[in-house]
Amino acid sequence: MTLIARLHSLIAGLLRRKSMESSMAEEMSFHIETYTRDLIRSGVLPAEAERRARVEFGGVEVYKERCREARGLRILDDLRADLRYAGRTLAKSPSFSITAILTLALGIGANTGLFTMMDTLLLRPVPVQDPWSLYQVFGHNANRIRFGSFSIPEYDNVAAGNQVFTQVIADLQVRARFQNRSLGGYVVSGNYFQTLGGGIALGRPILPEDELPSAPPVVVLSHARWQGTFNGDAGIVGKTIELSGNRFAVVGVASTAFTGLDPLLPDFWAPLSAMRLFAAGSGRVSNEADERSLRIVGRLRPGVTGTQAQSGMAVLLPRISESRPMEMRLVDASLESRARYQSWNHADLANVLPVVSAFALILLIACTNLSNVLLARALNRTREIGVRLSLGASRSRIVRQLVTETAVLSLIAGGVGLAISHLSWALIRRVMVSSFSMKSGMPIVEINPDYRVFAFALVLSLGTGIVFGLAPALHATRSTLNSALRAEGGLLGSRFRRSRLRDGLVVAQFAFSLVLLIGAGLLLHSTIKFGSVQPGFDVAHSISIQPIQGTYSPNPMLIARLTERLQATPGARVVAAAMREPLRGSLPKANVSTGPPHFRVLDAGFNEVTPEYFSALEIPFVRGRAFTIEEARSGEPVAVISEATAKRFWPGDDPIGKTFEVTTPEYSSGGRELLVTGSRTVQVIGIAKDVVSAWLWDGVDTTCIYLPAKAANSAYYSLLFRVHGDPRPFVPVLRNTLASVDPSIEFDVRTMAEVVDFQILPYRLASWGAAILGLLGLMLASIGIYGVMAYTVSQRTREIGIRMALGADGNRVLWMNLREGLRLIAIAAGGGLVMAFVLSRIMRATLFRVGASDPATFVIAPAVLSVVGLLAIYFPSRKATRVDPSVTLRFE
Amino acid sequence: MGKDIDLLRGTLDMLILKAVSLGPQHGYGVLLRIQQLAKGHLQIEQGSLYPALYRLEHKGFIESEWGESDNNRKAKFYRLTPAGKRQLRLETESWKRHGDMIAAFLSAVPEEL
Repeated sequence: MTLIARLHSLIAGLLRRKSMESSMAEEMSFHIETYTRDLIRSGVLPAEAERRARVEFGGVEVYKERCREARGLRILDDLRADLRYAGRTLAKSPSFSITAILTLALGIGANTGLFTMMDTLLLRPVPVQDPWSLYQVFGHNANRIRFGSFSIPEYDNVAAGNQVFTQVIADLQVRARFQNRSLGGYVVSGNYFQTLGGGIALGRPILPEDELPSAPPVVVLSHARWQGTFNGDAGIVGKTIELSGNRFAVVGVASTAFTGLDPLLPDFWAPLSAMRLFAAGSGRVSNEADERSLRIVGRLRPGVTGTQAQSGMAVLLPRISESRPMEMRLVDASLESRARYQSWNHADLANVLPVVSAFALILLIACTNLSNVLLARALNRTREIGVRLSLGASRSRIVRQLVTETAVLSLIAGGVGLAISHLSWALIRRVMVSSFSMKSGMPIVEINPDYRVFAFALVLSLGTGIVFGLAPALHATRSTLNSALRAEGGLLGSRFRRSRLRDGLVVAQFAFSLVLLIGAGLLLHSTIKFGSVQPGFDVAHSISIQPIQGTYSPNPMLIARLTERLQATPGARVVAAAMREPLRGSLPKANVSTGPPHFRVLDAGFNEVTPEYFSALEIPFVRGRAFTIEEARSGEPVAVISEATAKRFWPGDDPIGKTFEVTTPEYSSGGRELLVTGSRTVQVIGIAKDVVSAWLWDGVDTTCIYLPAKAANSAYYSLLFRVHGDPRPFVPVLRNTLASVDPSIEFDVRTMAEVVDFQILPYRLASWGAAILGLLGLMLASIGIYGVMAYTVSQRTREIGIRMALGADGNRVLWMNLREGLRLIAIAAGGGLVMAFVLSRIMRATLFRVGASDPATFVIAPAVLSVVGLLAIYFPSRKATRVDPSVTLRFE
Repeated sequence: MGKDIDLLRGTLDMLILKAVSLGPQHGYGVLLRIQQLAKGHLQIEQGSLYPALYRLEHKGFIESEWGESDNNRKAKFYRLTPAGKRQLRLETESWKRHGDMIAAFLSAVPEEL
C-alpha cells in the first residue's frame, strides 16, 4: 500500500517536476506571507514582521532540497549530475572514449548478432496464426527410426481419421523453373492458408477445391515475387504463367507477412495435386501420389493435451501405413511443436557452444581491457578523488559517479554494437550460402532484431559496464583520504603495493587471447590439412554436373541422352555418370556380408558408376580391371572395391575373384524416399586406389564399393566431364548443351577444383576470423601488460634509484622488473592452456573435426604470446635501468 | 535543548498527523495548531515542517489538495488518509505505552521493589 503510494508520488514528482517545484515555492511563500500578516495584526511593524517571518521560517532553499529528498527525487538529481559529469569527462579524452566504445561495441555487436540469430530461430514464434497449437507428426517404425514424410493418401487418412487435430495440413518444398530463373516454393494442402491464417493481398489463397483431380493447376505468388518479377502487376490474378513447362493460373498474391512454417521466403504456393508437375520434369513417372514426401502438421484441438494427441496418433499411424513395405510400417508416433522455427536439442547446443564461447571470449577480452584502462584512469584520478572525499563526498557517491561514467560508455557502445550486429546480419544474409538455403533455393527470412534483442543488448552493455566499472571504482576509492592527499609516490618507508586487481585483469586478458590464438591455430592447421588433402583422383581437368533435386527425377533414358550430347561436345575426353559424385556428401551405406571363411558383416559405402568413371577421375587400379560397358549394361554381378575395403574384407588375402553379398537401398522414382532394399551376390573384379568420395574432411574412404551403374532407378545420377587442359571455359558451354536437352531441369555445373575450394572455404574463413580475433586479443592484452609494467616502474622509480645508488647494476634491476611481468605471463599461459585444451576437446567432438591436441599449436601459440608479452614488459623495464639515482632521490 | 530537538525529530511526524487529523489544514495552519496544542511549549523551526509534510505525503499518510484559505488565497490543504489514520493510531498507542513505562519507571519508590 505505502509502497504503491511512494512509487506513485515518485512518478508524480518526476512527471510534474515543474509544477511540484512551483507549488513548493508557492506553499512556502504563502506560509511566510500569512505569518507576516499575523505578526502585523498582532502589532509588529510591517518591515520588522517580514524580517521575523523569514528568520523564523529558516532557509527556504535548504527546506526545498529536503522536500525533494523526501520525495525520492534526490537520487535522480544526482544521476542527472553524474550523467552530465560523465559526458564531460568522456568528451575531454575523446581518443580514450572512442577506443573504449569501439572495443566494447565489437564485443557487444558480435554477441548481439549471435543472439539475434538464435532469437529468430529458437525463441520467436513462427509468424502464423496461433503457432503454439501446431504440431508436426512423425511416425516410428519397429526399429525406432523416425519418419516425417507421408504420401498424399496417407495424409488424407490422417486428416480424416484423427480426433486430436482440428485441422491437418501438409506441405512440401519444390522448385520450379520460370523463364530463365529458378523459383522455390511449396505445394500445400487446400486448407493450408486458412489454417495458418495466411493473409492474401490480392485474389484468393489455395483452397480445398484446387485439390480435386479435375481442378486446373493454380498458383499463389508471394508478395516479393509479385513485386519483383511481375512489377506488382495489379491484373496478375487470372493470368497464366509457365512453371517448369506447365501452365498455372495465378489465383492470388500472398500478403507480405505470410512466409509459412520455415524461416525461408518462398516464391509461390501450389496445391498438392500439382506436386508431380514440379517433381517430374520430362521423365514423368506415374505413381507419384504414393511417394512419401509430405510433411504433416496439425492444429491441436482445444482441450487436447500433447500426450493425448501423441497416443491418438500412435493408434492411427499403424493403420494408415499398412500398405507400406514392412520395414517402413509405423508402430508409434511422436509430435514436435512447430511454434518456433527450430526446436532446441542436444546436438544443436553442442554445435553452437564453441561459437558462443568464442564470442563470449571476445567480449570478455574487450571488457577486461576496458576495465584495466578504467583502473589506470581511476588511479590517475586518485588525487581528485581524495580531494572530493575530503570535501565530504561519501565513498558510495564517488563510486556511483565512476560507475555512471562506465555505464554511459557501455550504453553508447551497446547502441553502436546493435547497429554493427544489424548491419552485419544484412550483409551475412546477402552472402550467406547456407546449406539450408542452397537446398531449397529460397532466401532465408529477414533476421530483424525484436524487443528481446534490444533487451539482450541493453542488459549486456549495462551489465558489462557496471560489473567492469565497479571493480576499478571500488579499487580507486579504497585508498584512504590520508594517503591520497599525501605526495604521490609515497615516502621512502611506505611499502610499495602492487594492485592485484590489475594483475588479475592482465592475466585474464592474456589467458583469453591465448585461448583464441590456440583456437585460431587449430583451425588454421586443419585448413592447411584440408588444402593438402589428396583426394586421390585428378581434380584439375574435370567438371562435375549435378542435377538439382526437385527439378529432376532420375531417368536412365535422360542420362543416356545427356551423356550422348556431352560426348559430342568438342573437347570432351571422357563422360561418366555416377550415383554419387566425389566430394558431394557421404556415400550411401550398403550392408555387406563376405562369404567363408571369415563371414564379415558390415556396413560399407557404395557407389554406382559407369565404367568411364575411373578414367574420368583418373582413379588408378591396384589390381584387376574396371567393368566393361557390356557388364554395366547387362547388370553383371561384378564389383570394384577400394584398397582399404579389400584389406578390411579379406585381410592378407587376394580379393580378386572373391564374392560377397551386398544389400543396397533403392529409391523411389522421385528419388526422395528410401524404398525396399535389394540384395545380391557380386564378384570382385578390380581393386582401385583409395580416394576421398565423401566430404573432404571425412578423408579417404574407409570402405567403398563400386557397382556398375544400373540402368534402372537410382536416387541421383550425376555426370562427370573430363577435358584436356583448363576445364573452366567449358562450364558455360555445358550449361547450354544441358539446357538444350531439357530446359526444365536445373544443373549445378562446377569444376572439380571449385568443388574442392568450396569445401575448404568455410574453414579458411573461420580460421582467418579466429586468427584476427586472436591477434586483436593479443594486442589488447599487450597494451594492458605494457600499461601495468609502465605503471609499476614509475611507482618504483625511487626504490630503484636507491638500489642503484647502493650499487645494484642495470641488469639486475632489469631482471627484477622483468620477473614481475614474466610471472603474470606464466600464470596466464598456464590458465589459457588449460582452458584451450578443454575447449578444443569440445570443438573436436562437435564442430570442426580437427585433431584437437595438435601439439604444434599448443606450443607455438603460447610462444607467440610470451614473446609479445616479453616485448611489452621489456621496454618499460628497461626504462627503469636508466634511472639516475641522484635525480630520483632529489625528486620531490 | 539539544535533547529537546531530538525528541521533536522523532515525534514531529506524529504531531503533524495529529494536527491534520483534526481537520484539513494548510502548512501554516498545521504549525499554528501544533503550537496551540503544545500551548507554546514547543519551538520548532517553521520551515522544517515542510520536509516532514512531504515525507508523510510520500509515504501515503496524508494527501494534499489546492484550495482557498480564509484570506482568499490559494493554499495547499493536507488531509489524513486511511493509512495515515492507522499510522496515527499505532503511534499514539506506542507513545502511550512508552510514556506509561517511563512514568512508571520514574515514579518507582523503594517500597514497591
